[in-house]
Amino acid sequence: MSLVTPTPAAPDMAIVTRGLTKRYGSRLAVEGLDLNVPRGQVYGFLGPNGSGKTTTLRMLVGLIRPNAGDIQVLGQPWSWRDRRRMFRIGAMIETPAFYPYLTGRDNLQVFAATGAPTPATRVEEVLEAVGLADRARDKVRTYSLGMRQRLGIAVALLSDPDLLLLDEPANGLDPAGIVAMRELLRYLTDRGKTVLVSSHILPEVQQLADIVGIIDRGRLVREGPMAALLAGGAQVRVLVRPDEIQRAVVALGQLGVAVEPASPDGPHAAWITVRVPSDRASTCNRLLAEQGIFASAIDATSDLESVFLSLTAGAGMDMDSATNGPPTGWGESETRR
Amino acid sequence: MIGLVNAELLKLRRRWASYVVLLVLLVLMTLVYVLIGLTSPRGGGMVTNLVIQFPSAYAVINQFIFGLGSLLAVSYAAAIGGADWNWGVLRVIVARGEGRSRYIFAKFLGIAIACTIGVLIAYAAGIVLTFLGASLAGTSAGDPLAGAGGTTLLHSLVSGVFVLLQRAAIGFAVAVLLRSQVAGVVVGIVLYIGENILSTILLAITFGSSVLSGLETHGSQWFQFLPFSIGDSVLSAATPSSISGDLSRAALEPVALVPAALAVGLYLVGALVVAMVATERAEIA
Repeated sequence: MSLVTPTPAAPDMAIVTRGLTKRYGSRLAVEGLDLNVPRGQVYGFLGPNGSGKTTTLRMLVGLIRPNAGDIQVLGQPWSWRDRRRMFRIGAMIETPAFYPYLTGRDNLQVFAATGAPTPATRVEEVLEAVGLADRARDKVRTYSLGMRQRLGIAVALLSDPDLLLLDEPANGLDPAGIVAMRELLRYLTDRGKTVLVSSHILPEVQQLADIVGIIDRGRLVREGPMAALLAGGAQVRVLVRPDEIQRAVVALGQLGVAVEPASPDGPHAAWITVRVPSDRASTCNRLLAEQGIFASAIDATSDLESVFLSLTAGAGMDMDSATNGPPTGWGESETRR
Repeated sequence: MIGLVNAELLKLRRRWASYVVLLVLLVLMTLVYVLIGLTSPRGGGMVTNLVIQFPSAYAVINQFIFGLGSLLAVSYAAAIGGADWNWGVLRVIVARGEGRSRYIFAKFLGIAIACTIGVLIAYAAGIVLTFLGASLAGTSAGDPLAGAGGTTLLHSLVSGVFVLLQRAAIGFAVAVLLRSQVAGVVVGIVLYIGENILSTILLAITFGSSVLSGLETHGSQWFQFLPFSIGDSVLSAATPSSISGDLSRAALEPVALVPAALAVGLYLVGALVVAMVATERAEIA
């Protein structure tokens, strides 16, 4: 008799995990992870480096076996040998991998022969979708990092999957490529597909994701709609005169949270960041006024980066701006590695 | 499965290693036959005629293709088997829902087809080079299909391909176990050469070093059943007049064909099972 109660089926969910755990020796890579990824949405899966994002994705596609926990995929319990269920999942895990001596088209044809039955016409469709049709006859070893990334997304799209798992898909993409990827993922979710994006490019995730899950040291620390997460934002910025910075920091320090004075923004002003929810902006203002400091501006809008940092305490974070990679664009592909 | 094998053949067709391995074999064979032809006395000598006249010439062709060729096949299969791990493509294939064992089996089938085609090309080249060598030596190679020639040719090809694939399967399994093409190639070659050396040492220990002169012949020994050695007994059954370059093996009676063929088959299947089980159980990072 099993001591574990099976997780009830959740037909509206693309992925449900309960108590998902992976251990490497004595180190817990993922610990009791409970993910809820609704169908038809973009789910942003965030976490510092080494927090367990890729390990989780590997478990979700059967590359590694969990030590404990249940996984449901597309409303049904899933085990790592259930390879036919994988036919409905497209995945790009870690850096995209290819046969370097084959052309982009040949690589897609070779991968199309594996896993889900894939019509021959699908190869040209996905090449077109990721803007690589004009470079399809070139060997992959001549591709730039961004082009490899796009080809990796093309491989994930080959079986026209209901669920797409993308690990750092924006890596190496130029700004135009990132916009094109965002549009492609939106196009897919508009047609009922579910997309799980693991990323450390927070501005990109903020624009893309409907739901966010934040993982830190193998544990889920927050999960919920992006709008709700930002509404409970975790920072307030106040603009004071440079000669008031010290006194302002002391005053705001009464809140018992991190207060980060910035370098003076010119001779007349300096921003101070207080790690508190945005609804405490008035308290900040009051504390400053009690010390005779009058802020010239208070910014209580929050972004994903500040929320993320407050939840993970900035651990091991290797954040990136959305603008890495050469400015070549989705449709341009002359940049070589 | 057919689609998977076709995909493997596409990969092998596009890969330089497929052509380099065959080219190495053909260049070495050409050099040796030309040297034999040029350095032989006019009309050939007794030893020369064994090399460049049919049907005894088949033994020399076999020695090239299934001796040196085996070493190349071990390296080739290891390089192909380990590449998927090195390049990380196995991760993509498994994530697409492909069966691990099924994929490994299809991969080896692709290698087997490529090796068989390579053997046929090399064998045809061997026959042509025998005529070239004979011509340079000022003698006749004879009719390759006369007398027992046709049968010898057929037996050589069938048993030779069987043995070559068994040896390739071992290289393939080693690379899959080590998850690396370089390690697979190196370990495969070391095992192949190491086993030859080990056999010689075991022979000397068993019968004394005088046995290595090859002048006396002893009954079959257990170490003839080692993975790379057992194939020699199958090959020697195809060409009874075999000229062996390995004195340690010339000093021993070959193992009877049926147990030898069974052992080769077991090693072949065993190597593939090991490769499939290792891939099934692997955690792919």
